[in-house]
Amino acid sequence: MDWDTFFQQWINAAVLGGTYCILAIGITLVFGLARMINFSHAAFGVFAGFIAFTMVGNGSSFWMALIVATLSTCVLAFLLQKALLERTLTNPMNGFIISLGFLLILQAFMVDGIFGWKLASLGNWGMDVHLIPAAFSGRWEVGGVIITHQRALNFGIAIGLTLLLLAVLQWTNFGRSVRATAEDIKGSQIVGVDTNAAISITFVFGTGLAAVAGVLLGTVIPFHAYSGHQLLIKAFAVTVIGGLGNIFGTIVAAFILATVETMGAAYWAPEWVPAYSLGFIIIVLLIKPAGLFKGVAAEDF
Amino acid sequence: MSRLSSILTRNWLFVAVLVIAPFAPLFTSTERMKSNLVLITVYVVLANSMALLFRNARLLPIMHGALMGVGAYTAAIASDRWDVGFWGAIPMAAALSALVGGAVAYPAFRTKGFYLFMVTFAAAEFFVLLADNFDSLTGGVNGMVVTKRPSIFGLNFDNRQSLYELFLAFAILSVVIIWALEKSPFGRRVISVRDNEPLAESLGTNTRLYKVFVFMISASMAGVAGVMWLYHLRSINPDMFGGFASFVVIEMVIIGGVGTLVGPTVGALLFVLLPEKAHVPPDQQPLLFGAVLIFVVVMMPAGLGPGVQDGVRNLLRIAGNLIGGPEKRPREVPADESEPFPRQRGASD
Repeated sequence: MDWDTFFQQWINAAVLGGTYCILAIGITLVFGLARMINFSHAAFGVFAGFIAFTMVGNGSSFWMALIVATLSTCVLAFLLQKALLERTLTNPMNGFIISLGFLLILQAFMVDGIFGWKLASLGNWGMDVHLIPAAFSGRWEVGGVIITHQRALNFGIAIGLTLLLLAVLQWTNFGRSVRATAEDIKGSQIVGVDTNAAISITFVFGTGLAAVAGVLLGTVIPFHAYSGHQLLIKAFAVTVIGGLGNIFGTIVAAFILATVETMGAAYWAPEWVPAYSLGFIIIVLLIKPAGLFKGVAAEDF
Repeated sequence: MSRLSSILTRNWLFVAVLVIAPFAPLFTSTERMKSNLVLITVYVVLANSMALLFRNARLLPIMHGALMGVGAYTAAIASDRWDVGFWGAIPMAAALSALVGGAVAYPAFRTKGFYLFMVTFAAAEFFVLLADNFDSLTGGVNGMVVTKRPSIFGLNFDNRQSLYELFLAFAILSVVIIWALEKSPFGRRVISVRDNEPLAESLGTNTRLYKVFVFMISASMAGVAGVMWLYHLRSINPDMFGGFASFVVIEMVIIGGVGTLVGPTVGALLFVLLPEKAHVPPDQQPLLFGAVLIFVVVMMPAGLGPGVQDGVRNLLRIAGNLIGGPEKRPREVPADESEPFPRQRGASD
């Protein structure tokens, strides 16, 4: 038994799990609040990855790139929310369709600009595969296991942000209003909670987390304009397995999925890796139609 | 015979299309436009297969792209190994898609709403993976080709125009199927399930089974569309049939609207003609459709179909008024055509 490889895979799985966690938490939060799914969630992550890549290419530091990418994604998400999605709070299905339309637009923009209009200073995105250069290039070697500094940083950022989110939800007034809105929207409105603000801010924050996830993933896995597809499937797999609206479930599911993928790729068949998340979705939902952990039961449209 | 004539007069728009459509190729000059006409018919069948499901069962499964792929690959493999040809492939593809659809739907319909959506989406992507990896059967990532054209009684449908006429028959048939299904007792049961599922169950209807049946019919239509697609393009590969390809079907149906019989056809027409006429390059097409989709959902949630229908009716009414004669009232849009996703009037309301 090759213990070195075994532990190496566990480390990789942990790092990947952290990234999946912040990617998926935004989706589950927003669904719990507004029963709405933003289909372009993962595409925002890829968008942030592109921005960070361009910035690092033009000479900025990793941290600057991360911050700018996240902020610009948040602005874009805010615009989307205010302009379109807020109108559909009574009919979340329409919001979903709108987000699907927005995904198409965003993706086309990343591939080739909007009818040729691109942010010229940002250079060419498109179908080329990019990899964001790492912030730190050292590595630790514990026994036979290699932990690159970049991956450790990714893990740290992911866990830190998740803990920050949990702390906000638990201990701040805003967090309380978010939890109240998730439990009972009309009741919260009666007692004076600004549910629209709660939903909007959560949406923007959740998408910001996805942006961070996109940048972090971009440092370890090469990506291109259509990478959002695969990412989206994994994000949905995590939220659905964890139970939509259930944050704890999402966190656990993120690590479960990451472990399954990493172990499966290492010990079984790499070309079937996308099948793991897909198979997971199918099998889990067929056994427990509302997700592995208790989540919000979705209703028929 | 008078009953048939009354049916025809009530659905005069459909009859008009029936009469005019076969002559459409005469108005086209380039091969590309003729090819587009064929594409339109394929999309019409596909859109109607989804509309059937959505109108009658308000289900939003995202796997018709994969079901189309099942049909297309069945036809390709059948023609490759057993030299079956178009007319043999159609029943095979319809049957196999129905089976696959039913096999997925039966367990999947335990889930609801977004979970159902995820399960079907995952199943569709899974299909792509299967098609990618079972090289020996499906030609893997490179896909498969078919070289012959359909023929019947020795008549070869060699050129695009004849292919169009043949496929047009299928397209019209797909609309008729929806119409006939809704009038049938089976269709009424399905609608009762859609309107109030707990009530239907309490009256003894096995709601899950009915939903699965409708899904199987829809799946077989998608499978036939797949065969048409294969014979139109003559080569297929797995990437055409994934979850995101299934979205194209949903887009068509939402843009066109499901409240009317003509809606999906309008959606299909728009889908093919708009990028053509606006000279939109393939890279930018999703952007165009995304924008149209958002526009339709925000401004005209019932889709473009009712607009087209009312527009034509109003035009004819105005023409009729100009000519003279008794004035007819414009038809009012019934309540459930005003939204793409009308709220269920359930026991809890």
